[in-house]
Amino acid sequence: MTLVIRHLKLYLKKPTNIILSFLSSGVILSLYFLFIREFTIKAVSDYGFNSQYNELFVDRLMTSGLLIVIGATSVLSIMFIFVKDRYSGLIKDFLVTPISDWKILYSYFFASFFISMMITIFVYFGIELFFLIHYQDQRTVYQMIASIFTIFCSNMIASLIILIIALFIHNFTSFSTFETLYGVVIGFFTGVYIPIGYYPALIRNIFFYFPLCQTTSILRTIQTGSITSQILKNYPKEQHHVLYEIFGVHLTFQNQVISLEKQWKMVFVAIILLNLFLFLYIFRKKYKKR
Amino acid sequence: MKTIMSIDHIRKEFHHKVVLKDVSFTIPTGSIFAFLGSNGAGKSTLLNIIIQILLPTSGRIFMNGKEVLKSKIGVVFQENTLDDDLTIYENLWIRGKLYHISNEKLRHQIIVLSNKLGMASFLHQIYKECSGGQKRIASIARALLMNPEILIMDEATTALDIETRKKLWDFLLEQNKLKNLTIFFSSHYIEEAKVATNLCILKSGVILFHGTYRSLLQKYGKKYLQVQLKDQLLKKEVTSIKQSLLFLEKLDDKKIDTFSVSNSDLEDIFLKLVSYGDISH
Repeated sequence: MTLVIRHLKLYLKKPTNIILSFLSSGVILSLYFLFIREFTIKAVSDYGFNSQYNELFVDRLMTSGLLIVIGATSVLSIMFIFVKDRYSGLIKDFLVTPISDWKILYSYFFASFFISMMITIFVYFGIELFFLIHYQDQRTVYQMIASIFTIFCSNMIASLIILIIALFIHNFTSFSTFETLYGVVIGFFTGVYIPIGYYPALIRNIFFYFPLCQTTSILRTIQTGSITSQILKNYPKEQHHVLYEIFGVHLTFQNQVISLEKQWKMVFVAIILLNLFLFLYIFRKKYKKR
Repeated sequence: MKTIMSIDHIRKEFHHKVVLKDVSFTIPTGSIFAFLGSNGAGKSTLLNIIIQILLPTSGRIFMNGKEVLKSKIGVVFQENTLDDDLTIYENLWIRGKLYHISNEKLRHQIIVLSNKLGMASFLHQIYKECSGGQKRIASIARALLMNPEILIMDEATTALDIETRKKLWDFLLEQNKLKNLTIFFSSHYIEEAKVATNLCILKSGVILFHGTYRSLLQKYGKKYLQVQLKDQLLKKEVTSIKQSLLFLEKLDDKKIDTFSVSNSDLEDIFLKLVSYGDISH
């Protein structure tokens, strides 16, 4: 707990960290509204869906993806502290204390997870407020809890992934390069910049294994559930999959739609596997010391 | 004499390269133990093994005859390992909590160390804004937070001015006397090793000497007669004062300006040892 507080203190000591975290969230949202929104709304119409709910659907769809991206990128600042601690040798000062290697490593995970949750939840409620004011659209308490839980799992996975990657990066320059690449790629991986159904089948099948692709789809299912049924009520059943699959509400793997239950299973398996990887890493490192 | 730490047949290999070869020695309780060796001798490797950042390939280390307890060892690293953006107080507080020291006890301990080490004026200063000397003092305070039984310092006084170095050593020697604190240190400065009661000299992973400062002088020390003549300086190794006098008698009185008989110092012995190995013969 002390180390988690230490990481958070270091993060909060620099107001630019907090400002930049929220600023980047604002930039991501602005870029969506400026460049992607119109294109996606038009794409929905082009597929033959003409409904007063099209705009609401697209906004819900895209903000769900953006929430996952914001959560995934906001873990980076604490992980930068981790890389810095290792690179500067400061981490030795923790290794000589009675605190175990586990606790030291997981302290960075918990701190980054906490920060990403704070930022994402703040943005989430901001977005909900926008939908309430602009569309008078309100999610039920159940949907809100389910959304927050999805964000919770998504941010947990993002923190674990970045922590594992950071273990193999030993200097700031490499980590900064990685940050830039990650910021760009994550939007494509989650289908935020371009709807996932637009990708070639091979790419779709590869992205399918990226856990955040699953959490994006789950969040989209929760966020657009009642809206899609409104849009699709006048269309035959055979046409429903177009809206779900092209825009990444549902994910397909080898032309099979993956059920929500299977997606949750994949998310939990990902969390277990990532933790297992960390376990093996520390175990191997301890063995390697000899 | 009671032993606080036993280094027992330590061997360390990195990628099949042997860095430490069967290193064994003991550190007496309450001693000031200097660990000397040229660069690449394996000093830092052994220190890292003692503080459990590295594990040895073979061999063991015991503390008071049992497993080494991290909470009983204070460590001062060569580099600064406190957080730049926190104050010294915050840094000490966080480190203290890692040793599970209660809030009240920790607060008291920080104040006591702050007063003893003269840190009061910069205790609440941001670490990165402190001078090099202040940072070192803070590192020593951090190492002493949990009242360790042994303080391990890895070239901790490197890049410090003479005044700060002396101030730090005065404080450490006082702690050694008052609290029977064992100090185990490596240093680039041979003169620092003169305060040591025990010495260990390492070369290429092998111990060349281990014992007290006195035994080192007895084993390797030599007497020198130095005569300053009008036109030249004579330096001769002698075994006794009598031999010196016999040599002086042979010289012309009028030509001698000054003469002196002195023992070889630690620096001489160290340099010869690391250059030629065993020089006792």
